[in-house]
Amino acid sequence: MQESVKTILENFSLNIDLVTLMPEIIICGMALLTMILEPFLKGDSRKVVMHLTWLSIVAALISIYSIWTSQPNLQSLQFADAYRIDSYSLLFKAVFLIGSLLTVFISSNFLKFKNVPDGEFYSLILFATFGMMNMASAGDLIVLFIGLEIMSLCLYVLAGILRRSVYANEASLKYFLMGAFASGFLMFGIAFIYGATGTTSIVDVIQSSEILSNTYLIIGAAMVMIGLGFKVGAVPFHMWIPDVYTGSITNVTAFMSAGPKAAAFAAFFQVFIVALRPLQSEIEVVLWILSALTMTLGNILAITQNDVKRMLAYSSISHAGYVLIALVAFTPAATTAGLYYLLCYTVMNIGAFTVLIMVEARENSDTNFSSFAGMGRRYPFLGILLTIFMISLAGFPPTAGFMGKFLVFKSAIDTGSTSLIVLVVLAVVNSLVSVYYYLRVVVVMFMVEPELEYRPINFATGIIAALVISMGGTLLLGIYPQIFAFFLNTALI
Amino acid sequence: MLEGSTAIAFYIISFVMILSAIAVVTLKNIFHAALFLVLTLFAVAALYILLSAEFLAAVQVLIYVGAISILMIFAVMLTAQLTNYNIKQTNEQSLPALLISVCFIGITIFAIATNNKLGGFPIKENTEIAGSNTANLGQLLMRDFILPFEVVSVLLLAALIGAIVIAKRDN
Amino acid sequence: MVPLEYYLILSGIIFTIGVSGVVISRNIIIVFMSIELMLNAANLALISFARQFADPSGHVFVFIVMAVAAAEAAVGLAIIIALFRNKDSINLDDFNVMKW
Repeated sequence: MQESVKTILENFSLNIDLVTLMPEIIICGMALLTMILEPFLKGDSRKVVMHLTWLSIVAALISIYSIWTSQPNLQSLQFADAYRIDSYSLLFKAVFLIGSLLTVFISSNFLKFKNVPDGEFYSLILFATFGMMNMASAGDLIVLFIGLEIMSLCLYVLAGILRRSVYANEASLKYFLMGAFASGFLMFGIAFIYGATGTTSIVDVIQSSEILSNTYLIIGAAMVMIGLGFKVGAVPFHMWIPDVYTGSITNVTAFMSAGPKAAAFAAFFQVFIVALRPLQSEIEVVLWILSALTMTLGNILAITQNDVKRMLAYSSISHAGYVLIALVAFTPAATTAGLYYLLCYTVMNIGAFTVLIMVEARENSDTNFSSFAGMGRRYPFLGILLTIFMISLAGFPPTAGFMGKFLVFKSAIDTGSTSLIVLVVLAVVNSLVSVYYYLRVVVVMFMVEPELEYRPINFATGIIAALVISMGGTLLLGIYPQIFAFFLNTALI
Repeated sequence: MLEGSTAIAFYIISFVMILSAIAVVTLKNIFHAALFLVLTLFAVAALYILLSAEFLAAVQVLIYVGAISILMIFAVMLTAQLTNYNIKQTNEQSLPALLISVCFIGITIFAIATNNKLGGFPIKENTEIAGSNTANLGQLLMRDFILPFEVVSVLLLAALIGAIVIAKRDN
Repeated sequence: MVPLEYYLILSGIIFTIGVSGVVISRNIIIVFMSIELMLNAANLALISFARQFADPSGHVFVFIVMAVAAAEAAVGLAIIIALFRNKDSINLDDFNVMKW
């Protein structure tokens, strides 16, 4: 028996390269360290946790950058093909990390304002980020599923971290029930994909010779589509988004709308573009419908909202619809464009949420449109920043939102298919409609007088850092996409 | 003879399983529903034995029946108006929802039953993995699937932290 | 001899019962139990396929799904208890401070 174990170990190599795993190790290690440190810190020294968190995220970003520059065409399969690290997954991880970094910056003062325990908060953010990184790099459906569950469990808790608020309780409950329901679908789908192919690996395209049963593959793909559709919030699986986004504490909403959404798309890209290529024509049809429904319904419902936070929740639904266009197009350029769009969305959306948090973090304030009244006159600079974020969300030059949309639409039109051109036209119409509700905030901010005396806004260091990063990102991604050329040369397939 | 008894066992177990699963979603008393959930989970464990997954059958009893169901019953006792037998169990959308569900199951079962490529392929009775299942599983967990095995521990830790954060009392 | 399809159909039936339970029930704990039924149906399908292929990697998957289900149960019940503390009810219809 011992002999056989020895031979197994000798004939078997996990092929682990710790250097390329550094980002994950840093994030997971820091999540653990945060929990160990937290009980020993009292009073002002509790800030250490926050500083360590953002430093570790920056360290992970630097390590991604150094992996990127030292091994340009990285293609590494580790842990017996269960983990894939390539340039595409590295970029996805960079997007998640930027989202988490901005979240940490906007959180520190807001948590104090809302009286939330902060040690666990940062730890859960880091664990969720770790889960997302696993999703982006998964080479096996098992790893994908676990990554998704780590992320989701942390998000359920983060949504309800404001324990005494009934709204937060409700958001957490709805998110949990919908998320677990979606996981059920996802698992059932994975079981049937396994039944159809005899493997759970998603490293390569499933070869048609491997497919034992097309029926099982289609059942599996449909179920996985439902499961992941819930996670990205595609219509008709979107009903949890408005309530969960509105009920959660605002910095968590900012976090949820950025990284986890991008991670769900990473899973979407891996499963439907890489692994399930044999079903391409069927998947395209379904995704076309999902995409058209998602952007249209998200937009229409966003128009009727009176709460900026809820409006941004519906807007995040419609943005998911735009990213789905990249999936319908099914080309290498489209996968790149989709990833670029997700980066743009992360930066500009968290930027908008940052301003929202500044408005909310005053005495007796809320997130309604009326809270913005008079802000533009009192703080013209902040007003201009918010205007730029809103223009970017609506998709006008010279901002990130425009460049992201432009790349996605261009990749779709380049395929030359009529149905895609129809979809792009629909998306352009939708973008024009969205101008109404995005600019409504700007109008209220500059034109409407506040009912009461204007309450001052508190400028904290973290908030300013987040504003600078997100504004810089929004403008750079929109004006100089050339400096992100490395980005644009990276395709999934 | 043995094959016949497997079939009989399968039919009895699946009958019990379906009935108790229906009981879980329809009973008015949550506590009884939880007990029927336990019965369903036991039936699943029994099917695992028929499918020669003995180790997983044991794990099923330990984790699902032993831990998860007990957690549920805890939750029932901590929260529910246990004595209140008149909680309305269904909501207004139940009829359309039920119809959609029935269509859904119809399509799935039809697809499975008419799936010709595997065409009624019987489960092989004496496959290689029978008997040495547990050893195989252990080797796989420590070799090909070492990453999921390790990452799932992170998941459990995150869940533990999360559950404490949400459920602890304010002081 | 029980064909694979029978196991799959059984798994499909249990899955559907779970889905209908989630959709029609108004009690959070019942909804949660129905989700467990769905996961069990998926596990049953996985093990049937694993038997078919004589391939234990399906078993690994089931093993991990059980761990995930346990973690989910812990977090879910914590959420339910936090809710109950604030609201004194587990009826889903009572949870609509927002529109749904």
